[in-house]
Amino acid sequence: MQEIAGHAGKLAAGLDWVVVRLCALIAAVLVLDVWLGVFVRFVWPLPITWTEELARYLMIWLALLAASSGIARRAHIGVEIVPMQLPVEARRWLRLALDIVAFAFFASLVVYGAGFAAKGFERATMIPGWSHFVPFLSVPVSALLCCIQLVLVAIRDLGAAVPPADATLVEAATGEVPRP
Amino acid sequence: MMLVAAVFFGLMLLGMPVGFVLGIAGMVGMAQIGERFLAMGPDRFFSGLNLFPFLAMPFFILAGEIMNRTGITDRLIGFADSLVGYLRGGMAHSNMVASVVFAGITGAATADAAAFGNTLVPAMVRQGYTRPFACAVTAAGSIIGPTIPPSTLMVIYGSLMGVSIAGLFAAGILPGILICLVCMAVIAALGRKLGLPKAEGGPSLRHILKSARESLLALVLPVIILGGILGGVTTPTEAASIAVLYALVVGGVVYRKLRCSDLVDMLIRTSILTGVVFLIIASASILGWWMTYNRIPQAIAEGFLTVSSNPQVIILMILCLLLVVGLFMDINAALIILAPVLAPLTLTIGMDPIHAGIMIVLALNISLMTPPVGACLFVLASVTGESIERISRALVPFLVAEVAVLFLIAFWADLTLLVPRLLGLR
Repeated sequence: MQEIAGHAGKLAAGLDWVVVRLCALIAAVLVLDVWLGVFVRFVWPLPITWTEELARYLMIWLALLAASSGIARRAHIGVEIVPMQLPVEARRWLRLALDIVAFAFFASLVVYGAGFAAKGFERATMIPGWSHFVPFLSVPVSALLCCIQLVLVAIRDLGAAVPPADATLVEAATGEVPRP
Repeated sequence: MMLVAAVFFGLMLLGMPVGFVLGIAGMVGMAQIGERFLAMGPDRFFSGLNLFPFLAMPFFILAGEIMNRTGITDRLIGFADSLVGYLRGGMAHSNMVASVVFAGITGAATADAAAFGNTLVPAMVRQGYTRPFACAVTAAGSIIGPTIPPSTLMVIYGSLMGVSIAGLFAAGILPGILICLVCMAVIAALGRKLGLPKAEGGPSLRHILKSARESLLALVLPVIILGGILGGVTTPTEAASIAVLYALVVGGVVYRKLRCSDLVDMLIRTSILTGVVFLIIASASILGWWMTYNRIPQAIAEGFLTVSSNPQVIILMILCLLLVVGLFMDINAALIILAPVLAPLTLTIGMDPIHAGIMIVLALNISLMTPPVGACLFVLASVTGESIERISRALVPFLVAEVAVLFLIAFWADLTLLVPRLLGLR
């Protein structure tokens, strides 16, 4: 079990490594896009009308992709008062049960999200060459990533000596949650 | 309805992340109405985030990251110390004034608590303050952050409830300054009793001018942010993006304390923090749809009105509800769930939407420093190693003072609406 948990942990960290760098890239493009919007509004009026819409979609992609990274790092905030009172073994199985429930939630977003994204083909955005499929796709794709990370971290944490809790409010607030 | 409530409270109690609980309870509610309604889940999940003003949040988080990383925060603290550091309990007063200045740049109380917990609390302890008192002062001051604009909570409230964010920002200025003054009065009152240290010498204009010159570039930032938004020139998102550009230029080019690798780190941290908060917003949107479908906000409003139709009593009940909910719930989640319930109720009793927004935001801010889940308390306990119990005890006089300010603001609308009216935002 320890060996499988180790592999799962490495896979989760590897996937997270890729996702956070993709998020950083999206964040950088987002910053540049909003700056461009400010530039054409205040400095040099150009016929560019898509910066605001693109910014919204980049933000949504960024936030939803980062949600899976939050799972890999157990960075999503929970009220951990009751679980912390439980013995280690009970906490381990509670953590697994909660991961399974969360998996069902994200799996439903994958299933229903695929249909939602497909509907996006029918609607154009103001961004040249983009239908709403591109932004809508963020829901099933990010939910799928969340599902994968939930499976990996559930296996990883089953093999851990002490099952890690979700982030406390402190860690989430200070960003100090580089757990894996 | 009972099933959704059981799922919501059960999972929350078992420690499931708030962002998941909201979505799961919402999907359970949708499935109860009819299986075909589940297809609306992803739509609500997406639409909950599809608001341009929300963009201000990651930008303000990023600007705060850059300011902390490049030492701009330390210069602001130095400036505050030059203004009030000579008083008895000078560093405690400086802590409060620095919170006001810092509040004009970032919109999160916990960022303030983490930054000051690392810098000011150890400095105060070295000067002879007890650690619990130093932490209590920092916690009390940290809630000024999301009260004085820019404030992420106000962005969320304004976006969700269709209230002018610029108006909310303007309305937050006086309450924020009032909290600072009241807390400084508490420090002054406790000064002799607790034997708080007093620095040698009196106020020095030369010292003030010197530290103002050193922190001038940092002090310009709140003016850019607030001037742009309150003057109606920029949207909060645009102002936040300009703040990022300004912080990058000042931190990277002028102070030369920023490397390329730092930038990637900051973008990653900003992304993760954004992901955590936005998942709560997106999931709350699913539950919010279910609540609206079942007319729960109306039912709660009718429940309140059954108890009393007196506006003062209803305001009192709203405040009690917010303070109690804030004891146990993350304030972003509490705001997203309760705002659509309480805002129509405040309209029914004739409250101004901006006044109601400030009251709700401030009540939730105060819960940031109340145990058992007050985020600022936890941040300070974690950063300084002090126990939550001892900080909480030292915090009592400040808490009483800030709740008093909350009641003053709730029952005296003109205090909140003065600045928006002067700026033509009301």
